Amino acid sequence: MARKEKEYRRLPGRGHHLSGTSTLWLGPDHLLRVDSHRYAEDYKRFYYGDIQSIVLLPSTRRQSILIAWAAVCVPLTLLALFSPGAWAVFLGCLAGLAGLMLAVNWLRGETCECRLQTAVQTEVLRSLNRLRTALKALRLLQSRVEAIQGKLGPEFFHPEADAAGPVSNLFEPGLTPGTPSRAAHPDLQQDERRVIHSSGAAHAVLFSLLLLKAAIAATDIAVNHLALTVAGVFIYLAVAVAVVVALIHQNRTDIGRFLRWHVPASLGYVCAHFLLSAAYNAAAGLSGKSTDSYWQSLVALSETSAWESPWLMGMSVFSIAVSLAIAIPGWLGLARFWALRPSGAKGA
Amino acid sequence: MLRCHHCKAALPQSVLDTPDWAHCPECGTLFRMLGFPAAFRRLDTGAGAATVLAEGESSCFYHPQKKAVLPCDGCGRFLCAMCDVELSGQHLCPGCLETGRKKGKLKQLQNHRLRYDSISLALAVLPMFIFWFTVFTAPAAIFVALRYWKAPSSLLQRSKVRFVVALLIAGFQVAGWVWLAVFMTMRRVS
Repeated sequence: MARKEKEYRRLPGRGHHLSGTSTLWLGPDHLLRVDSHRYAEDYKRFYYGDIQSIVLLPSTRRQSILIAWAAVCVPLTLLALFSPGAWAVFLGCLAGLAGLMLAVNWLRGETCECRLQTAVQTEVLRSLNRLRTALKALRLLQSRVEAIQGKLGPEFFHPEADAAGPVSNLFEPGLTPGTPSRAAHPDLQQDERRVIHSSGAAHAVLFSLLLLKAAIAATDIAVNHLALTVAGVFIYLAVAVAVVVALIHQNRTDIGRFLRWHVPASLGYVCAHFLLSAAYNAAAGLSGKSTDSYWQSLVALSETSAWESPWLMGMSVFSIAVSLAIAIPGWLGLARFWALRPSGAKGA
Repeated sequence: MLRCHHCKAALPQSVLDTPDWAHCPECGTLFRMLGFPAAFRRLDTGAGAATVLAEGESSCFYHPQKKAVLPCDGCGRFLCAMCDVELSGQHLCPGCLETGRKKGKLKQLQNHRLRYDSISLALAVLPMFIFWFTVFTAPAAIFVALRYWKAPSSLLQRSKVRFVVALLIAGFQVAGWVWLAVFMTMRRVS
């Protein structure tokens, strides 16, 4: 029996979303987008005769992913270097995995956003999110579309053809050819890329956590308790995560330069705090006060008063001073940013 | 008309299908664009139905005052220009279109399908982590596999391998439970 010819041919690329994946398939007369969920599939068809254009726009997703994986890999590597025995191996393996993900993301190349336009809709094709993959897929798609519609020749751009009146765009019937529908934003004349309005939420969370860190460090000087020490550790980790989130979030947004610089400053504080803690642990080890587990070291730290140890006092003062130095001006800047933002601007 | 996605300015031919990123001449947005003649195509106005003028002329089944132009490919009823719905070369009436959509006969209109093979496989495999659940899920997996064996699973022509694997795994589970039940009974009797 003759083998049944496959109706659809898969295009390269796969997009991931919360509930599943998205793929593209070339059909006999249409492009099929398949959104696969765990136990179901949704389909959307774009007939070749209806496709007006396909646009690739550059995106900074690759940089954001690189920063995120680097923010995981570097602290894990440093932790592995300063941890004893089995912890070093475990943390080293985690750091290696993070490094591998970082390398894979780097090797996969530039990211982009692909939009398919018809007369009635502009649809984002999630599976074409890497430039190399998108270009490969679009070459295949282009041949199918041109087989139906023909090639776009110079006769379509003739001025007389433009003067005939608005064509095939249901949403902008009043446009005359050759003129933009709105004036270019003055900022865009300096910055070629699109600017997204920021809500400032990520920065607000970061500055709040820094204030909380300062409060806990100040309380820890006066009162010695294990709960305060453990809380301090968790707040420190939360600050580290918030720094990464804010770094990614503020990319290509309209958040001011003053606020932007607070985030790298916070990152510097997080790294400095880590190095100081590592140095304290190393010094404790050399003086014979090393412990077998991280929990025991936390317990020992909570039992040591800052008044008894100049090193601990110095770290606490450093932590309080830097946290307040970043958080207070940061909150003032954020309040000014919110006050000056035009009403109706939606935040990212 | 091909327009910039950011500022909607008309784009010249020189920025299309370039080997590198192109700039919008108005706003400077970077992009790469493939354009097609459909962007310059004028919108077709909908066909109006002509009134029946002469006696003996065929009229539309749904609009007796309108002239019939062709028969429905599904039911054979005469249709006017307004009632004719063209779908992948077929001319259908609204009734056949709706019937075809509801019964799943018109593949071009289907936009959602359940993957019964994945459901069956999940019922067979996932409960094995909490083994006691398999006393209920194994028969359910077998039921789903047999009940939906012939149901269309995906537009993309998946094989039945998931059904087969689900039946095998669920079958072993059921066999195991039956054996356990027999063993316990025999032990109690003896």
